[in-house]
Amino acid sequence: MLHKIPVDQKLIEELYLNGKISDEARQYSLDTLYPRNEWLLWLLRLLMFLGSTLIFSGIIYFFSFNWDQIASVAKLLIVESMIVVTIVCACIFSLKEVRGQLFLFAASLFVGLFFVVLSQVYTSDSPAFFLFLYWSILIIGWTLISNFSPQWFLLIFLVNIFLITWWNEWVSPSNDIKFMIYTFLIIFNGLILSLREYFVPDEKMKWLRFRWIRIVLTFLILPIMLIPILTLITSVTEATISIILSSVLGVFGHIIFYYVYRYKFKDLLVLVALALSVCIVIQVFGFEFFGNLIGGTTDGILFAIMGVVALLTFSSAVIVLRKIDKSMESSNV
Amino acid sequence: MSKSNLIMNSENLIYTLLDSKLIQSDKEISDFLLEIQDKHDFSTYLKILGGIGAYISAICFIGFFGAFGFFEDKFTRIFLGILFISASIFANSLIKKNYSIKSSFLVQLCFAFMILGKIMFVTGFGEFLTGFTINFDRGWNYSLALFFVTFGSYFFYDRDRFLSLFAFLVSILINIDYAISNNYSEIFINGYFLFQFICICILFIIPRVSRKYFSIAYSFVFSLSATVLFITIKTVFINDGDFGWITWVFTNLILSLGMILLIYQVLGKRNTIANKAFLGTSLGIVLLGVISSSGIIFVIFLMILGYWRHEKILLVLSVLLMPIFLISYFYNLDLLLIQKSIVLVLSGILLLVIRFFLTKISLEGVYK
Repeated sequence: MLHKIPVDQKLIEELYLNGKISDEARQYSLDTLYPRNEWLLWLLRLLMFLGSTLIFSGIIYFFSFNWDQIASVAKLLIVESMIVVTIVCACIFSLKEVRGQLFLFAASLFVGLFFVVLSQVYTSDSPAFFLFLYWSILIIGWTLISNFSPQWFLLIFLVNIFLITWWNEWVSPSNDIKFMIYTFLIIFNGLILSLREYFVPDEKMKWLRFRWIRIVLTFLILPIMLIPILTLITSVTEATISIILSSVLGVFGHIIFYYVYRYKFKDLLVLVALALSVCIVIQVFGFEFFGNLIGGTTDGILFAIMGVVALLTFSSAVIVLRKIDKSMESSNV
Repeated sequence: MSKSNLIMNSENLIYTLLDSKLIQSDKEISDFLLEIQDKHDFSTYLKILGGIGAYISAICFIGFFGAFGFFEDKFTRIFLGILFISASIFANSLIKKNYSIKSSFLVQLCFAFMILGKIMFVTGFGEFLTGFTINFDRGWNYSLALFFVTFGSYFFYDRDRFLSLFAFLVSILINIDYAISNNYSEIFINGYFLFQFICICILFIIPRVSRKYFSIAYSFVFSLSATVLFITIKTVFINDGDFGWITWVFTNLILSLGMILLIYQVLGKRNTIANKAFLGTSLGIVLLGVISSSGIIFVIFLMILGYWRHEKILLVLSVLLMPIFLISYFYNLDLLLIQKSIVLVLSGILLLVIRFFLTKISLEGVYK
């Protein structure tokens, strides 16, 4: 029976607080459960990240100070040489090490800087989305070989910005297709998350195993799926085809998320975020539904009803998730 | 297989502790583990989800009472506030925690009533006290109301302890800034900073205390973070002349001393002052105290404390606060842009050098 009870910090603390184990035993159990080497590794990464950020900021500061005094050609040459130097450093230190990956990441940032300088020197009138498009295209190759999550997040960020600026500046959509951007964003980011989950078991892709990558992507995709659904609920009579399409995709997205993280990868935090999203949908729907039913004159009653609806939906969600959590715990031991 | 995998379940934990002679017998622990198995609490994520639901619900109820004019009279607010708080405590004591939807609904209803009751009481009582005070800033009345409501319900209701205490501590900070004249404000802020820092040291140095009074310990940590953030904003971004050298010297001194004491504790009593590591680290801390800002020392302090005590929240908080304090530090440097760029690059190189030596030391440790 005991082998079915999982051990976590909470359980150790409970044993300690109830006087079942000494302070020494508590510390020993925690040190064994969460080894110090992991923290050291974490500290080393933090130092590497902070050190690189400070050096990078110093370089940017240097250019801002001398910007006006530098000739146009020199500006371009300096940025280009920085790209070359960082790429050479990435090759020297190897992409199997964080140092090399950080140099490649810096090179990717310098590519963006190069485009900014280029548009300043030649005072180009080209739309902003071209910058993000070219920047994304040029760093795709590096990203594919980088095995480095910040590099991937840079690319994801750039593609998202490109899609939004392209849609708004270039396509200038009519009211009917305005919400199609949500469809594109759901598909793109959903695809990235699916690829992450698909390649996680691969031994060569160990860097993908950090849970925060999934969490960040989930918290990026859920609001994108939620916005069209809420828009459909609040303006159902004026809903355009793009709102309906994006909402349907959003609903499907929620279902897929539930299936995947309930049965395939078992992640309670993702399920909690999903439940929160569903509860918000129910809450907004409730406000619309009961608001129309009761009429606008008795707002107080509407608030009271919605207070009860909130309690019902959230408490049901908590209980359902609690049961899922229990089943996950027993299957993980 | 790593050690952490060895104690993934309770059986292995008991064997590990027996092997290490840290427990005498397994019987008592086994019985206790079996006993608490069914009482295993909700995960933190679920508590947060439930809390969000209770807050939304409380806001809706406030809307309901507001629409019917219950918020207009202060005495009605005080009366209803006490009524809701009492009802919440009473109902909470009767709920059978069997994890059914009915029980979960009632738990959240109690939480929502507690939030509603506290908001009504604080606003009503604060306004009531304003009538009795002359030449006294009304902000303190609300702090007093928060004090009554927090400690009045503290021993009877545990779900909102952290938030209630945090609100009380932050209200004091706000009042020190707004209600006390500029001549004394700096002294009071520094005094409040010292008080909170001492509380954190006491609460976290003794693990039994920090676990038993978990909400108090964390409300002090978050409140001190708010205080340090406030001091940073005042000195760096607002720069209105209220805060100057006294605050800088005082906060840096206290935090540096606190960190030296913490390192002493972390290294253990057997490694006394003669220990090279302790001396080296202390020297580093003194240097940090001289050249750095209170924010940077504070996040490093939180990081070491979190690392030592296995408090993940402290580590996450320190990482979240670090960029803010770093940016404010470099922004505040009284240097030309070109000098700043050199300082930035040198600081970056310094951190990478520290990393290099840490890697070397840890690798030597592995090979030894």
